[in-house]
Amino acid sequence: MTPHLTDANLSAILESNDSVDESVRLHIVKCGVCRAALATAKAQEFEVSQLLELLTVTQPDMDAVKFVRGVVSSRSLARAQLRRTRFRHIVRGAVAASILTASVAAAALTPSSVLRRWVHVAAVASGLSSDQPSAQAESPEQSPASQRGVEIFPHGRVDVVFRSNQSSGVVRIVSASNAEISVSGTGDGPNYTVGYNTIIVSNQPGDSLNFVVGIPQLSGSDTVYVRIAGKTVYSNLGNHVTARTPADHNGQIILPFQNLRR
Amino acid sequence: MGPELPFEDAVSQLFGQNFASLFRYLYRLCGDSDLASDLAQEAFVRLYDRGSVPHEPTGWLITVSTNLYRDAERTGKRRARITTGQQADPSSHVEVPSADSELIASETRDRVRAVLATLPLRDRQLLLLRHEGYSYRELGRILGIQEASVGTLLLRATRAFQSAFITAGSRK
Repeated sequence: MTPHLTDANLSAILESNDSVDESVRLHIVKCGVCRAALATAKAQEFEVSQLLELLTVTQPDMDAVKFVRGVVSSRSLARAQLRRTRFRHIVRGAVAASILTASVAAAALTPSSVLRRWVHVAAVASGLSSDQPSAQAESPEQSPASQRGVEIFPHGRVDVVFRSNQSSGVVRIVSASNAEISVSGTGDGPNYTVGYNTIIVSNQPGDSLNFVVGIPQLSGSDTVYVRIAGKTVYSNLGNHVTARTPADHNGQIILPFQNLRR
Repeated sequence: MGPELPFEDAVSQLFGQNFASLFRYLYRLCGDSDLASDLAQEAFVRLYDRGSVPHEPTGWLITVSTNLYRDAERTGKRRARITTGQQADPSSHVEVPSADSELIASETRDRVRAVLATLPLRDRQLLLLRHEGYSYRELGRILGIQEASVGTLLLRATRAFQSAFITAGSRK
């Protein structure tokens, strides 16, 4: 007579495994002890299954396509943000290098205290100094596709330049929650050129596009200018605002292109 | 899955095929439907970030989500009620006809959770994945154990669970 069933034999039978040896099957037929062991194992398996089934929950309604689209979208934004941040670091590094090189050259001709201050300001402006708030450099805000933005560095100046005066449409100046000065347009018509401290909107005289210029809270010596076709229509020096039109009850300044004709 | 299927479509397809099962497995493992949902979704996010479909996607998802669960447990994100079983997840449900039956079912559920929590992770995985219908071969691949050993380990886990369940009941 073959020996009693092992756990391996029992589990193989429970799995309905074809590899179970014929002698094992014959043993079960003849051996009451092993038949009982197999019955117990089956009962245990069933009982545990029933108990685990009690842990049932309504599963969340998840749409596969929407989920994956969401992941793709979030990852694309993250990559764009990373590229933008890297670009800023490169620009800052290049600007800082050139400024610091120039400052060393000028050092022989300049009183040391002035030079130190100038170098400090240059370092701050280029983002190499700790005076630069990291939140600005790593702003998590994402811009829509039609929006372009630049940071304003401490003691810095940013010019927002609209190349042409349109026959209609407005420029709306609003408060921005992020650290960037941004321009967003209603359509994909104009080209945007973003420089170190300028945003140039290449709109056309016949366009009737609307634009929103977002301006964050500025510090004492920061300056922002908005110019349309060479005319300064808005200036903001440390939050002291001068504009062609007054702010409305929402605090927005609306500058109609047509008004510039007068 | 055809090799020509774009990656994002492949991920969508895998999500459709595996999310429900993965969620159930994780829910039974951790006892928290919100955490289970988060972990299951995070596993799919990792799959997307991976950039290619693994050779055994189902096993990969289970392994990743189990590791995420282990991390969550380790960092204390897992809520205390899961181990103590004092408060049942309100979203869990069993169809029962009366308040008495519901009370008994609720106590049994808590006991099942508490007993599961006392078992080693591999035993829990074996029981829960087997309950999800995985074969010995699949369990072996997913858990990285010899297929020949799966049955024996599963049998022992089943006995350990039942024994602990009876002991927990007799203590009450």
